[in-house]
Amino acid sequence: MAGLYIHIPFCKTKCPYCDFVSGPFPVEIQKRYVGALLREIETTSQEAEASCFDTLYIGGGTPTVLPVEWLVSILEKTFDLFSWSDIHPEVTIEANPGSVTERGLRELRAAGVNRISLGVQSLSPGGLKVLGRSHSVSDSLSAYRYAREVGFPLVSLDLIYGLPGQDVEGWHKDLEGAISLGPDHISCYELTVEGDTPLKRAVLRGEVVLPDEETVLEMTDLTEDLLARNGYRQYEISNFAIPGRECRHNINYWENGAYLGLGCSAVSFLPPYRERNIRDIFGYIESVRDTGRAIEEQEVLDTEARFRESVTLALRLIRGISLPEFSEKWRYDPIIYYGDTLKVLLARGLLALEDQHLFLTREGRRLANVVLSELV
Amino acid sequence: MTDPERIRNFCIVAHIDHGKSTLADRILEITGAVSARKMKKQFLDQMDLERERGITIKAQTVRLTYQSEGDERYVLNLIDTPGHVDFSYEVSRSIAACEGALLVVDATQGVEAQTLANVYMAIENDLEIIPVLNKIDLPGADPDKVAQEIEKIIGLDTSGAILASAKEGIGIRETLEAIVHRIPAPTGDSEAPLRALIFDSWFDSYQGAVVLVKIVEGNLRPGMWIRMMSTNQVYQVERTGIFSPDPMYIEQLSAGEVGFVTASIKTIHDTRIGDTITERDHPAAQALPGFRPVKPVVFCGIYPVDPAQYDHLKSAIERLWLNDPAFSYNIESSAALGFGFRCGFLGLLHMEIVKERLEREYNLSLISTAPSVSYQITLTTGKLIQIHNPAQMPTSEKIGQIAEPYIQVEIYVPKRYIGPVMKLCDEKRGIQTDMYYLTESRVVLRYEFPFNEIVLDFYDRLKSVTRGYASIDYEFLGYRSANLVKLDILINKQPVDALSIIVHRDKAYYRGRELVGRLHKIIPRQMFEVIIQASIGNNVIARERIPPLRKDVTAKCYGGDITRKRKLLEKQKEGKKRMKQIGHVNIPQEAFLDILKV
Repeated sequence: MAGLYIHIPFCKTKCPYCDFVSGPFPVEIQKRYVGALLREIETTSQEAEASCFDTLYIGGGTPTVLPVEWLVSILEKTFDLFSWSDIHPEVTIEANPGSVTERGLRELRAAGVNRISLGVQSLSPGGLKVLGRSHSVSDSLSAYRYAREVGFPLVSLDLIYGLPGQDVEGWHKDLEGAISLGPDHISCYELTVEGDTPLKRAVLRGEVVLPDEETVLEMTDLTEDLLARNGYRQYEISNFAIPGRECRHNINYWENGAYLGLGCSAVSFLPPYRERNIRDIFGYIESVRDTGRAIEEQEVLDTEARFRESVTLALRLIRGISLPEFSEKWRYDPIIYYGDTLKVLLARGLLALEDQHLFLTREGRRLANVVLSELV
Repeated sequence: MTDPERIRNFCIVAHIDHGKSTLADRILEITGAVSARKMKKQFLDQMDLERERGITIKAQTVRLTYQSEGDERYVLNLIDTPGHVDFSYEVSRSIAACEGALLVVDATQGVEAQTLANVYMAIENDLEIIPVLNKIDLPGADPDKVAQEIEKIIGLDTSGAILASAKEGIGIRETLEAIVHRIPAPTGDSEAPLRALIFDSWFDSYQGAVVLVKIVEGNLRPGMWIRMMSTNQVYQVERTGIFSPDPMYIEQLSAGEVGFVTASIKTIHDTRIGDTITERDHPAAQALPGFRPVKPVVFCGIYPVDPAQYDHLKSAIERLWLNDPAFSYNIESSAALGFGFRCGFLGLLHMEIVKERLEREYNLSLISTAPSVSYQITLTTGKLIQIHNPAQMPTSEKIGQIAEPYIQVEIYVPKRYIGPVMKLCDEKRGIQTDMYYLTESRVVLRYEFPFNEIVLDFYDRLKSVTRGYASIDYEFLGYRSANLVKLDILINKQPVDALSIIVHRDKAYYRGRELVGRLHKIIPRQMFEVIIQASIGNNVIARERIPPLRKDVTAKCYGGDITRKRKLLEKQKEGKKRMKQIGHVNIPQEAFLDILKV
């Protein structure tokens, strides 16, 4: 399994909670960036490590702020120059409800995109406002309708909960609203106050008050229960899908599989090397223009470190770790390797062991960092 | 051999920050001992720690050659002295090696307590004292007022005071002239049996102890058999030399001279400061006066965070002790912290320095328990015991009487801060014994305190209530009986011996609540409920609850985040490792010291 990721670092506006490499840029810069991206596709596709891919994911940022023709040319070049294991690989694009049109979506669908992840975030006007989103609730509803009308077989919605001022009831309504649309896949993220963001500063200044821990825990419980009752099976800490419609591209990350990332700040993992491209958009453009590549940082992990990392990633998946598979692949049996540390976590009920699978319990999922920091 | 008539031995007496090191730097520069280019700021403070803290911990000495204005060559020995009350005995020995002293006073600040203590020491030793009013270039300088202060407080004639700015190089030449013309030459007889005063020593892994001496009488040369008069240890001298400022070997040191001697001495415990060296075969009849062994007064437990580092800590302490025998150490074990050492120090600064050197120079991660003094307990059986550690305190029914050490403290403070200082002293169980005006605006408060109250944070608190304008000096008075109790801290019902303290009964309730409150803030949430209690005997006097941690999860982790998220997990793991696990509860290291600073 191998995935190909393409990063589009542009957005209509910068959201106050976002610490990704993305933001609004003049169209001229966007054009130069796409030029660089096409060049990087060419150079990397000629290299040996670019093997055969199973999935493609265009993320951002908001890829759909680019003119659709540019996206189509990126898609065409990608399909042409890389090899694919299937004639219909999973091809996802991230989109912001405010930046899609029916025509645009139709063309993307025609160019081979079969999965769309809509950044709905909230289905209440108040929620969208505190998140500083530039789209409206009706934008989200129309975007969903267009996606279905033009024939996307897989539609996913991204939602954020634990918003300032939100109560359990408010989140319940958001979830009900999302479920009623009938998406194939729903991602629910607890709002995280990241590093140096306007949200963080507002929280520090006391202008914004997040719901308390009890409330957020209740929201998380509600998410898991309500989605399960409606046929969405949780397969990762924040991801739910109608069985069989999980995001294969993302599962590959949690299985610590290989992937190639293109675009500024994109990360590739071609074991044992993990490489990151230059974060800065201009630096990226310049480097690709001069050398065809833009790798800025490389990390090489030895087998044991990769094993440990794989454990922490795989435990994010609800099915957890298959002990026979891990033992065979890594030559370390997790049970023996972690010994007493693991016993304590099992005894505390944070991890469970069933049918040769080691996985986080419900309580363990709430405290995943505590568990994973013991195993990393 | 230098003609003693041409030798001047002097030291510099000053309060911290009044410019002693800068003045020494200028003198070194002007006499060409150190070229300006090679000159690092504060040349004499050689340890990193000394330079960082801007204080002198070890005595240094340097021989300078000075061509006076009358065109005569003089040998000047500058003996730099430690500048903190913790090291006052060492200071007294350095002073005893001199015939004169520069009294450096900041012309913007005036005389401070420590300056006074040292100046009195210099007067007792019959030193010629030359006042130097420093920092006259600063806008706030008032040299006349400060000169008056010196006359009034110390009773020194300031008509010959030198106006200087060491920073700007003003008054340096005048200072040097005053040294050669006003300080007397040493008077000892070179033909008499050897008497050399040890005023510092340190350990060098190649040469053994390097001993700084002033030859009071006789002479000292390689090959000579010498005897330490307090211990009767005998050694054969290997080398004699001087610092100028780099070490230089010379054929002999004779009366009046200051220099170093090495004799393959394995530990500087045998080269006690203040002791007299004499010649084995022609011994002096009497040792030089003033020697006394130094005694630690403040104690704390030092433990490795990782119990596996015990052996590493042990060898580090042993090695550091070779260089600083003023601290004492004994193995102790704590139920909470495992094996470690109960160490004794000359004072709080000394304690911090030793701990910091252990961590820095030996790459150790340490937990130190709250500093404590030593108590005298008369048991009901009539037996008298001395304890250095609250954990050793017998149960109350076995105790007849407890006595704690008292000290007399002199506080020098501007008039306007008297109120807050007196309030602080009351809070610390101080008994005022005197108060008088030094000048119109400056006051001396004399108090007697239980030493225990001073050990924790008195100095920091004093500095903060007086905005740094107060200075103190103290001396021991002896033991007095007191109503003291042992306050225990329990974490999830388990007493943590390393957190026990001995407090006055009247303050136990307040301290208990305060302590529990601080632990409540400092202990992170755990996977389970944590109950913190303070108790005296079986009575719980304070209680706090830390609710269990229920949520700690990263919502998003995709391809681009994996490395960063992994590093965050690794950091979390490291943070936990640095904590001390007691029972199942993880307690941060600083809990053991910081929380006690009420």
